[in-house]
Amino acid sequence: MKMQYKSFLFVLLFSTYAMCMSAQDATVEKYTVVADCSSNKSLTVKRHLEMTINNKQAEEYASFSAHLERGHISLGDFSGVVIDANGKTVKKIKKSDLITSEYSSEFKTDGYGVYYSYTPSSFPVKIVFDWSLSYDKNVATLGQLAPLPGYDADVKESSIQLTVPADMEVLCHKQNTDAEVKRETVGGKIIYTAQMNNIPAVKKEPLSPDFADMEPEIVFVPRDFNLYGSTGSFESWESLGRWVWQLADGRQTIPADLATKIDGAVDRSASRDVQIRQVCKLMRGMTRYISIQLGIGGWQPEKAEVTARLGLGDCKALTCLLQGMLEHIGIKSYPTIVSVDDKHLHKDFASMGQTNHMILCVPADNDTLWVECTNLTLPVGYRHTGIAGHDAVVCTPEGGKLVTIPGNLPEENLWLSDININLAQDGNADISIVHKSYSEQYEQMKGLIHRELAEQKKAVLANYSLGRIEEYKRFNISEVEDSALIVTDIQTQSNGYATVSGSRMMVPVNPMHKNHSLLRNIENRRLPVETSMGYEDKEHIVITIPEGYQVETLPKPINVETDFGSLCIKVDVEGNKVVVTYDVKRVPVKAPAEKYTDIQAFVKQIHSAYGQKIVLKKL
Amino acid sequence: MKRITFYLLACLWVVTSAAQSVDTPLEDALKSSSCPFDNEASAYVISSDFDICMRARGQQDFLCITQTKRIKILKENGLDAANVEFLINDDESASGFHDELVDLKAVAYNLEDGKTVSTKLTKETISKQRLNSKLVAVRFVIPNVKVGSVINYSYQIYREAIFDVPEWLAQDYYPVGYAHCSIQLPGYVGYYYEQTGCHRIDMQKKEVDNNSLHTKDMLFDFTCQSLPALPKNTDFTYCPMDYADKIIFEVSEIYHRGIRRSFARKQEDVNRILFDSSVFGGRLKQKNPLKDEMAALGIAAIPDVMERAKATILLLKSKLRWNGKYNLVGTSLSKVLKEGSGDNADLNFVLMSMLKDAGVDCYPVVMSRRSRGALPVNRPSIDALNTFVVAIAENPTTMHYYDCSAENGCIDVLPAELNVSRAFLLYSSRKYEEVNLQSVVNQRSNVTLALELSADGTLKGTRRNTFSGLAALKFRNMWSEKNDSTAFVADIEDANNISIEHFNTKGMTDFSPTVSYDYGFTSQQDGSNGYYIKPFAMPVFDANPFTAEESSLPVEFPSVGSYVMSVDIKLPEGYHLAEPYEPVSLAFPENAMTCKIILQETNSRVQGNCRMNINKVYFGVEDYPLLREFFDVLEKACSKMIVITKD
Repeated sequence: MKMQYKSFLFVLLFSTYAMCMSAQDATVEKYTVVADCSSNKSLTVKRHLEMTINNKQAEEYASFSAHLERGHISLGDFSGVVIDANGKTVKKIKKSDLITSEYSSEFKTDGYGVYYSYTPSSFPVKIVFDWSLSYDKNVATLGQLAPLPGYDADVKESSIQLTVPADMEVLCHKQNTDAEVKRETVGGKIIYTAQMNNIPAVKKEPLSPDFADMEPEIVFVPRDFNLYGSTGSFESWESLGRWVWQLADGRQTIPADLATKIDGAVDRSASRDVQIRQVCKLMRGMTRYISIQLGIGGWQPEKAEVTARLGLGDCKALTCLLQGMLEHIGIKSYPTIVSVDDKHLHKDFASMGQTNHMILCVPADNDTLWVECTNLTLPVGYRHTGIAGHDAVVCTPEGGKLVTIPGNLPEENLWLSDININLAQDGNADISIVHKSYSEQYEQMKGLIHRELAEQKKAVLANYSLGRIEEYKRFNISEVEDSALIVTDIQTQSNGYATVSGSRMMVPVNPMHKNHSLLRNIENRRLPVETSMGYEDKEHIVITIPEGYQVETLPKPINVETDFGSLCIKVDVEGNKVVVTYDVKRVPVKAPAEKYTDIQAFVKQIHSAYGQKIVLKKL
Repeated sequence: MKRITFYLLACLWVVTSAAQSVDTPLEDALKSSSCPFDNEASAYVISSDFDICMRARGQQDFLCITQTKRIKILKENGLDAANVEFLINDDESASGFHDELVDLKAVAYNLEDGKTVSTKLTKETISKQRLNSKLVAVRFVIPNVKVGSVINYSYQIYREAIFDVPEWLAQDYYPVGYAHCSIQLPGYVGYYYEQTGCHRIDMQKKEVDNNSLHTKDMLFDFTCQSLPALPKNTDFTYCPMDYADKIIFEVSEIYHRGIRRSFARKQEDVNRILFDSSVFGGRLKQKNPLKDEMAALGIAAIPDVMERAKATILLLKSKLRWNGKYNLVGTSLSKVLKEGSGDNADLNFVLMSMLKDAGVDCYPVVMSRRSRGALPVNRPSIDALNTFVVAIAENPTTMHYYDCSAENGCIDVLPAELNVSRAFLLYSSRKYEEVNLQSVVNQRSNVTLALELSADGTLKGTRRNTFSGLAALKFRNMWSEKNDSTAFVADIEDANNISIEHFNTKGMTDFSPTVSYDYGFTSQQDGSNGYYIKPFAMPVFDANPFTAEESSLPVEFPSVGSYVMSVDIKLPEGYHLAEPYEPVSLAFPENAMTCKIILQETNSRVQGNCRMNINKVYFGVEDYPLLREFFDVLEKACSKMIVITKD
């Protein structure tokens, strides 16, 4: 059995919470998981949950839901009881009370949900749920104990018991817990048990690590799994990656008419990079993304010929098709599994639940391209925020290779603005802005590109402080082809950009950061500070002073360097022009909790700097 | 009572709009690259046709509903037009209503090397997902659709529930070139119809033979052209569909095969159906389930009728909680009592039984919630009703209103969702009165700010915010969701760059129309060239929200209301207001909205006042430019800084 022991840091962290936290929104009084696996095709998991819900903020925990799958995951017994503060049973919920809904965001899926929605009439209230799920030919996880239901809830007592046949090899992963996993042989079967008790609540705080990275968890998987009749191994990412490769192997064959199209579209004398881009461009024009969760638990891709015929598919199908298309011109590529939600995979524990997306890894001339097949409007190889810096498994015939997809550097996530503000005596202004957004900042603007003009204008006005727009003399948002760059080019007549008050005029200096927000105060910050995105915002602003006015007050130059980034403001007066440059850089941060106030102060400095005004006075 | 349940079900229907009679030749459509009347469109409906008629199958009549569309895909974000979803009735119980989906067809046309290539819809891209025990979502994605494609799709639904005539939405989420709807109903069907929207829809009406039923039918033909896409900016409109171009048909009577089935023809008919039903009228007669508790508290002995009502509501609130849902009819009373929670109808029925026991006259006020659309103006409709609130009679001529969904509200403080201009107060099945709740519900904010400026730039002050009516309800809601007064205080500190020294709240959990909070604070001003102080905050909104150049939808405020902010700044000795403050006076026509701001220096004090009144809830599309201008001037006025300088 393979074990991963949690880092000592988290033991300390949770011990500290235990001392600090007081009244929680909810308390898990008891949570038990009893899993009985008769073979690698059949598993029954019984769960018992007793939870006290203390207030309205946690009332969602009084409801029950379970995800099922036709033919493979079914609900066995179910019972629910609601007990009021006096110990009186106020509600019994039967299996027949559960509501079934197949409706989902997926276009096609075998999955469906059962739920019961309950609103407690008073607090505290205790809920007790007992239910069992049976897994048939869908045994990817043998059992999982993750008893914290979310933020602001603690756990008194929780345990897991897993019974497996003597010949079944089991892998176990522990995260953020030092709970002991016991193994004993009883009556020809192996029983694993573990307990996690007195787990303190985690209070939600800004700039903190993902809850999933902080919660204590124990997971068991079979070393050799059988999913819908397809066998593989969780022994390592290498073995899981090999299984993923095999599922797709032979399905990449493209139809003859598509091969002809590729031959016509690709310049075989061009560089490998150019050829890859030409194939991607061809595929972009003929496919679209549709979410389909069918085929070996949603793991096997549709055949490339079917995807090509339909012109649509999910991430696996589109990846498989592009792989086949590249193969046709002799370029090898590899399906790659990744999580768009969590950056990190457990390096020495492979399992299915850790990834939720597939992209294509294409070794190119100078670098490896990571191609997002579900959105080929992105520049080929652009590493979007759902994959940049994320661990991933490149699936090859030789097995999976655990890699980290390179992230985007703060100076690559650039926001560059050239702004001219030509003031009139009444406070109106002619404003021109040429603004360039790169990389991850490009991605944030990307959604605007295909929107209607009115929506683009609305979005711009929501983010820029431009006063009331009388007219746009120029308004253009454009994407630079094959480049993660969007250029916003605006010239506008703004009514009341500056506020005239008697003989003075208050002129906002920087119109670009209307929604810049502060970090709220946190008393006794407990969680470490973590931010993942770094970026750099630069503005060069020229403000032309109207005739008859002179400067009374100028913004203050600032130059601040911190561990979390830097802030530099320069101010110059050149004749009737005030020239102000802003350079704000934020870097990804991993810091202890006590650094939060420093980051907060830094953000406040930036906020104040963006809010600065020039005061002009009539001559 | 099944009928009412079904009517409610019908309200949930999402009807995708129509299609057929495609006049634009396919080749022309394939070659076109833009919508002729909207050059920004990402896709446009070239033509749509919607056809409804009644047919017979054996002894069973059914509605035959046919929808057809032809759509041109113009940009990548128009590809979604090829992903279609609609709902059909499919009651899991055999006795419930069912729709039969027949003849679902779709095809994508593309121009490839100058030739038209077609790709048909196949089963592999059709799916059905059961939404609940009564409805199924049908989804299909048309294959091989790309920018430039033209798609056609059509389907028929055979509907058992012949009185459930779906509405025809002429508009779509994309512009519509040509839209046609035909509705053919036999002479034995009585009906009402209503048109909404502001674009021209031509109507022709004629008598035709129905060969299936062997009847003389009335055929309505509706056509319209060049309709804009449904508006996307719906921030200030509770139910944008109220203003969409559509035709609503409602069956009022069926006299067929010797049986007359009469639906609502007059408001009295609607009322009678409600009072006759077990889940509405029956629940109005229910016994007070909290009789013993009321007796123990001696509520019936409270002399003042409104105090009695208040005590009754407080008792109910201590026993039952709103589950977040609205309804018109009741579910099982025993279930509600056992679970301790229910929807607003369940709780309102219990409240009414309690009030009656307490000797307080009370009546249901039936309505359509604002987000579900206004009640039809020219016809009674039971379909359109979806909830009710409770009218409490202080005396025979004075009514007060309460709804159990207003967890943080009180009497005469209803959530904005229920603050409707038209509702029906039902004294009995025969006697009723139309009421405008918007004349009852209001919101008021009162802010007083007292500041003292020292010569060294220290600004000390106190601020008190008092909210009444809907403003109090909203503040209590926000407060209860925040669950963290520290964060609230911190937000104020950060937003105003001040340090708060003490913070108090009053009435936060009271059953009263008023709540307030106050705090004392300090901040440091930089006074190298005098002190700059912004005395007023913008009322109602943080900034002018009406920045779009135009709006195709009206603006609806939550309620009428008023906002008053008073400022008093004590100046240090030798300091004065550098220059006089120009007063601001704004008024909408007929004083629908007014605002006055004044500020002046007297005896080393700067004192000012900002007073704003919103006297109307609804502002039409034609009012938008003025509304934009009003809030623009207001924003500028409130962002003005005053300068305090030394002599």
